[in-house]
Amino acid sequence: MNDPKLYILCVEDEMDVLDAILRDLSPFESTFQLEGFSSAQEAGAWIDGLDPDADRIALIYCDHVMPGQRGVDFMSELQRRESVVLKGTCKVLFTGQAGHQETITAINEAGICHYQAKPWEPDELVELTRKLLTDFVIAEAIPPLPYMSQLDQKRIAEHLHENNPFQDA
Amino acid sequence: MPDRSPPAQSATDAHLESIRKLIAEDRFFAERLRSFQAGDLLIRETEREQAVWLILEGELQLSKGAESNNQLRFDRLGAGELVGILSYYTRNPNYFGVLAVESGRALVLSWDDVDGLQESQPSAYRFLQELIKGSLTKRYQRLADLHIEVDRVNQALNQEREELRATIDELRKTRERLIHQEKLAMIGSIVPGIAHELNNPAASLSRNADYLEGILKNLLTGPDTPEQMAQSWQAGLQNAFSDTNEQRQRLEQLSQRFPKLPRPLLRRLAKLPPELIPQGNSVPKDEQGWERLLQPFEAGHFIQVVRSTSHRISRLVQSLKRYTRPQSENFQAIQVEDGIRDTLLVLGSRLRDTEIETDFAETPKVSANEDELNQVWTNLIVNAVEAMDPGGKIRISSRLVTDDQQVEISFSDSGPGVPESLRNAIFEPNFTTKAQGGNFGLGLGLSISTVILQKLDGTLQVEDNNPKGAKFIVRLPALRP
Repeated sequence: MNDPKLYILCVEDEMDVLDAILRDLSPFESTFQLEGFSSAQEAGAWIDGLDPDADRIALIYCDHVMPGQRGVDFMSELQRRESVVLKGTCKVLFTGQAGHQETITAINEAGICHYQAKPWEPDELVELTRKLLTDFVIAEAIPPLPYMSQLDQKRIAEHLHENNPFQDA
Repeated sequence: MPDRSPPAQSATDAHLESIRKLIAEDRFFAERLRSFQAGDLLIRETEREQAVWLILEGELQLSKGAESNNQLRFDRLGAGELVGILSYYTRNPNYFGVLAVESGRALVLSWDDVDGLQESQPSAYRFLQELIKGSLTKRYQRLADLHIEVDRVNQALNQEREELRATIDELRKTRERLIHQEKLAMIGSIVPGIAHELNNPAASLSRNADYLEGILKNLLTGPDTPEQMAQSWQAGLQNAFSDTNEQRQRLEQLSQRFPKLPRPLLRRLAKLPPELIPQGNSVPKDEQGWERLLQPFEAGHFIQVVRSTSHRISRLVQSLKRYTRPQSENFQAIQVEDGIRDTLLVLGSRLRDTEIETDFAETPKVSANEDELNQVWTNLIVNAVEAMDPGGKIRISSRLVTDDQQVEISFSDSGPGVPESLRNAIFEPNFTTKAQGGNFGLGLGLSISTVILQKLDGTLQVEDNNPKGAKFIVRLPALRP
């Protein structure tokens, strides 16, 4: 099997904010596919067009407060989809405000793995992305070599070491 | 209780008089006389008294539970009335206890005496029969009166209950309104400080963007810089964001045209207006060349973003201030339809993708501040537009509700509607589905509108629109012509 194409999706209704997120994440674009969307609907429809044999979504950054479908609801909907494209996808809620009820929904139904508050520091966003991508590659047992340059190499090395079947007992 | 039968009463008196005569003449009756004092318990409940009492003078009280704490008092019986008739006819134990409330005398005949009278003293028996009939009739009338009285009391109780319920309802509404006002007062107390703190950095952002623009303009449009850079800079200053779908398509086209360029560079290039993408000989040979083309564009674009962002902060601050500082109390007589037409005119471009239908009746004027009322119309129309997909429809109609002389204006849209569970929340400050641009994106629109309308003794409600969407209904007291 060929190496899967790993995607990072960003959903944000305010174009200048979306632009800034994409710009901050552009270092990952050498190895990962980066895509931006201005609404949950647009992203949802675009995901339908992915190829289940070749594409995997590793990470989604999604704004919470948007007109139309809100972030938590979109993530919940994705959680219920049974596409292999979305298997193990790490979902990050990007938010300036979220209430108690949203938090409960986020944990119980949307399978959100991280909150990222706004405004953010570009360096922190890059480090968070690197960590979450590494988590995804390890958890989904994806051969890490093609993506190595953008992952946490120390953790990947440790992981490979621990799981080396030829390792001495 | 009023006695409704004087003729019957006089008949009773006549029969009673005959009985008295008998007592005076006949030992049989004289021996059966019995005196009682007020307070005497003459018959206990359930006792088998087996006698009929004809009251000659004084007054007796029928009661149940006389020996418990829970005494129920029934009829009071006076001269000419009888006790123990029910027991006599049914041969059951006494249903009531009997207590003397006024001293007097009674003729006490055992059941055997009564039975015997029919043979031995037919005339006395007939008087007794008449007295029994009179007493039962009286009691029945009192029963009927009692029923009527109970019914009246019930009605009064029901009415009181309704009034109580209405009062509780009113109290709850008042409490909600007070809480709302309290919240407003709280926001009002912190807004001036926040407004100041926000306006200063916003002003600074805006000014510095201006300075930066001046400097970059000198650098990028001087006689020594290539024409291409100056064009790129100008385009950046005017650049508006294109939508993400379009950007994706452009990115795809560019990556086919320049397959060797790294993706992040292509993504930046995709923002450039197509006519500025170099062709043929002018295509840069190296990354530096591309940067020389891109950076002036981006510099212009960033300045524009900073400027519009600071402008947006100022607008939010303005709307916050408007919200918490009630405007002039200067009310005029206003024709609501005129204000709505003005508002539609002002909103113009925002209504591009929306079909507007108006159905105005000739309504009386209302008393209001024109600017504030226009703010209400603006909020309601913009909310409807933002709730709908392009091509949505808003129907605005006005009419006079003659019952309570209110002018009613309704805004029906074809959007997704307001779920039952959110119908209170949408009128709260901070409720938002947030809109692009931030002009009205503070989540205060409906809350502001509510405050404005309350001040005018008006109301704002939401319900389902038929067949779909939401219907917001404004009611304002009509001015008398």
